Amino acid sequence: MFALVLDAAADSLASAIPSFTDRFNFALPLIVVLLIVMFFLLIKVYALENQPHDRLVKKSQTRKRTGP
Amino acid sequence: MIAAYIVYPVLRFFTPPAVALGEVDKVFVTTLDKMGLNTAKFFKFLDKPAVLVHLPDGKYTSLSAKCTHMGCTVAFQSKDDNFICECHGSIFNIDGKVLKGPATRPLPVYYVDIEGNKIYVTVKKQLA
Amino acid sequence: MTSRAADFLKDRIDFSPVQAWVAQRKIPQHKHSFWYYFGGLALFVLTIQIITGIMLAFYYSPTPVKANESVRYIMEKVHYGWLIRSIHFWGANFLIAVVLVHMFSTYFTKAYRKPREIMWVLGVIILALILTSAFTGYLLPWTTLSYFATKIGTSMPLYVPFVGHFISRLMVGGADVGAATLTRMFTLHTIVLPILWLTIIAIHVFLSQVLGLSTPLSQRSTRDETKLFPNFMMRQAAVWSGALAVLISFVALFPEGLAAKVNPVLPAPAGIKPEWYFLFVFQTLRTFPDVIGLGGITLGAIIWMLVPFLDRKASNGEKSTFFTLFGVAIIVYLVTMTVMAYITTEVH
Repeated sequence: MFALVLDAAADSLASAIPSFTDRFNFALPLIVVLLIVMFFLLIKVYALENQPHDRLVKKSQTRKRTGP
Repeated sequence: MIAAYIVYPVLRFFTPPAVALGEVDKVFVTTLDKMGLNTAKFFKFLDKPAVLVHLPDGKYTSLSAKCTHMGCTVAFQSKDDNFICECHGSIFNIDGKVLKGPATRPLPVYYVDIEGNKIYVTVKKQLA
Repeated sequence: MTSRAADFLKDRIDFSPVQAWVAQRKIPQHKHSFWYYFGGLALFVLTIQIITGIMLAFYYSPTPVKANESVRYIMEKVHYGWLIRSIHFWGANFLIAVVLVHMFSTYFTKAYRKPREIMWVLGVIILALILTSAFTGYLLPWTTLSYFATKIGTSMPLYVPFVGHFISRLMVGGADVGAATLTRMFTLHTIVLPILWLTIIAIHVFLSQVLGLSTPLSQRSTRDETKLFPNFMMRQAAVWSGALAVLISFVALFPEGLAAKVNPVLPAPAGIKPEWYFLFVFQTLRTFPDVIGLGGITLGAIIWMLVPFLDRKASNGEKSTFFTLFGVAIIVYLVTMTVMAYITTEVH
């Protein structure tokens, strides 16, 4: 009897989580946007570091580092 | 001195007050007609899980069901008449003795008092 | 940056020292630079945990009668409750994974060596606190698995000599895991532990900025570096964005369900196992006698924490093969125990 009640509760939960399609309709646009943001940032930083003049990554002689 | 005044009350605050055992050392478990041969009934006793077993020879026995290894509740295996703890695999015989580790200490055994149709479990043997 | 609010602030507060400091901050660039992103990634995932955790706390109720029901309410009735709870669940798993990667990469690049010993010790303490957060949060849904996991976790201190029973009783708050334990775990999970790890993380991150990032011994000849701002931060943000996409994918693919409420009187069910990050403890307990297993893990953790002080070679800038092998041995032990716990069928 007790087990039956628990099973019923578990069933109602299964129906409470949206279906696979609904979850993906929700998540996919967000995932796509996040990946676009990721690639945008990577391309931007690549462009920044590969400008012929004013390279931001330098063989630095004057680097100041506190640690070894 | 001041540190002691702060630390001691704080530690005491977090230590839960002890339960008075005197009044709850006997508990009604079930009635004779509800216990088939070779079955077990789990119940709370002294705030811990305990088990009452109706042995195949008709006798009753009761033990703490709290595994002495890591505190999980043991299960009764009627085919072997023993208790297994599913957490780490310890096995105890019907008297509570360890048959297989990792547990090393036996399950405490309680006393069964049958009064009419009612089954009670106690810490101390009652003078009947 | 010429907005009115920015001007308002600039007129009143002098940000130039901060700006100058940020502008000169550099990050070493070499073939192992990849590992630098994991510390920042851990902070990002932790932020997600704080936000989703606070959201869940609005509905959660830490009593044996209401705990499971309130989580069920979050899952069934609260709008996007399943989403927030699944993010919190997967975020915890991600956080532990990221922190482990961060720790082992630090270990094998010997970044713990002088002058960063304190950062390492604090890092190990942060890992311990994060695992404690995972442990205390595990009880909150009040399911069979969470109940017995807490029983085991609160029984372990019993094997500590002299003070073991006191510590265990302090954790449980009574004779056995129950209402008192639930409020204790809830308070630890939502108030005490966050205050502790936020404080220690603040010191850890502060030291990483003061001392700068360590260059591995093998890469000391490379002199390349990149600016913290904007170059490194842009890559770090890209990592965050990608990681969030992966996290959301896990949430959408495998949303966390909710097991039935525990009946504390019934025996532990067959095949009961903890989460992956505690499987090595589980298998150790099944394989070795209690005191040896628990003592070994405790001793290993203490040695692990003190490695910067033991590894004199790395501090002197020399190769320390012994400690590399020690790290490999630890990983082999953790992986072996975890795999064994996965493959061993129930022993009856």
